[in-house]
Amino acid sequence: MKQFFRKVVVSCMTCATFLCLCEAVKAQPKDTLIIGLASLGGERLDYTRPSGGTNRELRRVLARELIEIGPNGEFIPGVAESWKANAGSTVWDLFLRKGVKWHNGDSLTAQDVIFGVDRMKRPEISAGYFTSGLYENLDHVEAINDHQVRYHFKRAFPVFPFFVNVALPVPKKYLQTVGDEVFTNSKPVGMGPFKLVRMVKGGEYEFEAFDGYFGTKPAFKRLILKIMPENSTRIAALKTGEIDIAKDVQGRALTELRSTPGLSITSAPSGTSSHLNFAHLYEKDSPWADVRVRKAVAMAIDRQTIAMTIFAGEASPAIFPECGKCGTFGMPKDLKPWPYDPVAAKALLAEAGYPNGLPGEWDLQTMQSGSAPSQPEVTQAVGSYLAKIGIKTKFQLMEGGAFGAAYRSKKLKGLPVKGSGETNLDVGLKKDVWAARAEAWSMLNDEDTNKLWDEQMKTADVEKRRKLLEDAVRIMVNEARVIPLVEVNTIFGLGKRIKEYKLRQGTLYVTDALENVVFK
Amino acid sequence: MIRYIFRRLGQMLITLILISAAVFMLVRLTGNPEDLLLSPLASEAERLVFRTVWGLDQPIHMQYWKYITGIFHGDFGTSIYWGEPTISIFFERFPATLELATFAITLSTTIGIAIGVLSATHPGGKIDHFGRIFALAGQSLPTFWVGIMLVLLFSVTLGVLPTSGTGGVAHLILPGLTLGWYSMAAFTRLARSSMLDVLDSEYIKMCRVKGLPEHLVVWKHAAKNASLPVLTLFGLQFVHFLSGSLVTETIFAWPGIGRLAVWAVYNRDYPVVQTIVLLMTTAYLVVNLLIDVIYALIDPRIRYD
Repeated sequence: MKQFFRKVVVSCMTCATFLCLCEAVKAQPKDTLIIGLASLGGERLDYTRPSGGTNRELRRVLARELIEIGPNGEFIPGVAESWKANAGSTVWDLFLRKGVKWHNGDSLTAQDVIFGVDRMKRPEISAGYFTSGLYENLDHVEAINDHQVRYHFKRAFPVFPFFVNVALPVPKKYLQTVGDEVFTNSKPVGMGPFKLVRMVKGGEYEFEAFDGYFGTKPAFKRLILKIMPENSTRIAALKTGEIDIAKDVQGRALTELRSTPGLSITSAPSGTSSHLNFAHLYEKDSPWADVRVRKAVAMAIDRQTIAMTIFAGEASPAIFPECGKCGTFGMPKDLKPWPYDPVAAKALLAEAGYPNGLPGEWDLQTMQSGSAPSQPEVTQAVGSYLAKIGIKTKFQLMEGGAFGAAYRSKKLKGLPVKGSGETNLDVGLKKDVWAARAEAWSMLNDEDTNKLWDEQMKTADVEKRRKLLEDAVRIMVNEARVIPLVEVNTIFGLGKRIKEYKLRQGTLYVTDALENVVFK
Repeated sequence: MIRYIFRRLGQMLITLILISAAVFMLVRLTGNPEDLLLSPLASEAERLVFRTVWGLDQPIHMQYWKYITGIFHGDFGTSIYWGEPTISIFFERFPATLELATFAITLSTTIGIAIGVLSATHPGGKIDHFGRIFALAGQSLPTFWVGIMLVLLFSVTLGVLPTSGTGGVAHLILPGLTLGWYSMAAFTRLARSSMLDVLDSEYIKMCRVKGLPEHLVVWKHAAKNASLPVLTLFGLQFVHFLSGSLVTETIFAWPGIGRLAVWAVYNRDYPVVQTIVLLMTTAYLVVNLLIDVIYALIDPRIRYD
């Protein structure tokens, strides 16, 4: 009996200790929004030079861009309230908003913009960041007055509204006082909606609303970005209410989220897509030189089924390796995705002289990527569809860096499947896809499209340039020079407290439009 | 003993130099950081700037010389990905890893050894069966599964513990249990077998014949001698925990060394990988030396000179 009581006491004490250590998951304060995301890249606080795509989340919290992209893909005022070009698009004037304040209370002036442009020229600042698009064309910048900056270009530069954000303004006075090290690693000062108040590197970042923010203020005072690499942990935290929004919801988690009462999702076309290339397109004896064979490939793939099964409906058949639903400049509105028609595909192969399918086995290579985790599955599905019309493939999964290096040096064979990252909302900026004239490693190098590339680069007239780009896209699609596969949505999971979060078309970032978050 | 320690310190230095050279070369075989860190659209001029800024345009022996001389001046290099000194990045993450490692090792030693000793003192009994099943489960169940199951049970279903993150004892329980269970099972098995050997020895029989109470026989006389192999395991497990656990840190969003190391490898951030490997090798060597010294203190029969 005595032993029994001793056991009971010990068990009770153990349970009591455990319960003391535990704590019920606390309800989050109403004025705080907590977002769980897989990564913040290099977590660099210098918003002018993000390290890794995911680091751009911090950029959107701490700062705003000079010219921003609106909900339907149009350019809208950011820190600059307007902009205009001269007739030849060689001189661009940027008119800054008046009354824009930095987080330390200083006013943002034209000098800060020029300082930002000069700073980004320094190799140690620009290293690792894509700046040549601006600087190869820029001649010089001058301040006309405190709120007007004039950019002079060496040649026509119609894509200025996109490239102006390569060099964001930085607080000149503050940076000269504290230095780059402090600005980059511990105390950033921006002009965005939130100020940094606390950070645990690799863990979480806490921000408070900046009262002097010039834009629409979000409906909450505090923002916490929690780095949660594991998908299932993010979903669990969404269920328990530890976070309000989960970034990068994919695959089974999406289905689970849809079936959990109180939780929901918000999604929008992201502009990211994958496409199939022909490595032997320009080899005379190669079957891929025949447009009928390429068209057969295009028609053999059931993109709709891929979108419904691999992406649970949060994807759509792609038309071109650019966002087809984001109002992308230069995308012809009447183009439709290739139809799924295996019978017609076989007929085309037969017409091309391959009634029993293509001889040999073709490499079908793709890469493992954190930003496009389903790409290997998509590629394998493509392999199955091609097998049905008699094209044998050998699936090869490569590490991201190795694939990128092999792609650039044109060492890939067969049918490389490549992802197309963040949309630039301008077909003319997809030079890696179609413009060998501008990008030596582009797989496409055709005289007709090269000519259109050259012409659009010096065309200041917006409508004329649009027409040139549309013509280029039509040629590439009709000739099946590159086979678009699926265009994937950006999906965020919403917790029980969130009523709505409307996203911008073409966005990848959860902090992109925090002013659109509506609490229940 | 002092001579022995100095000899070991000399050997450690040689080991560290060899390890630093091996890691320096091996990490460069994984590929070029510019393939991952630069935009695919970056021009050749931008790639050249990148290589120049990070010293990757230098011959490899020059890069190594710069690296090794920098270490002797306390400069372990600057992270290509994070843009900060690697030593700062390491020590920003290390406290979180140390906290988790200490909690996990405390949990696994106290529970593991207690179950092991009780199993040995009650062979074939209920507690022995429990101990063996517990050890078997701990060593067989994959950590990622255990972690996710614990989150589902304690956070989602019962709502008593946070799913992830840092912030207090409550945040430590699930990752500590996930990380510690595997080694807890190892401690249980080792303590049990070691204790069974010792309990069967002549001097323990003598203790019992002399009429010493059983708890003194077990915990005072037997446990001390049975602790030598356990001590070795303790040292190795603790350093293993300190070097971070990718799976546990990933599941529980723990900002530690394990995740840092993997991110660095993924992004080919050579300086960070080199720093982590070098510091962790140092930790392993120091702990091994300490264990050898403690051996001699616990067991007077052990002599190093």
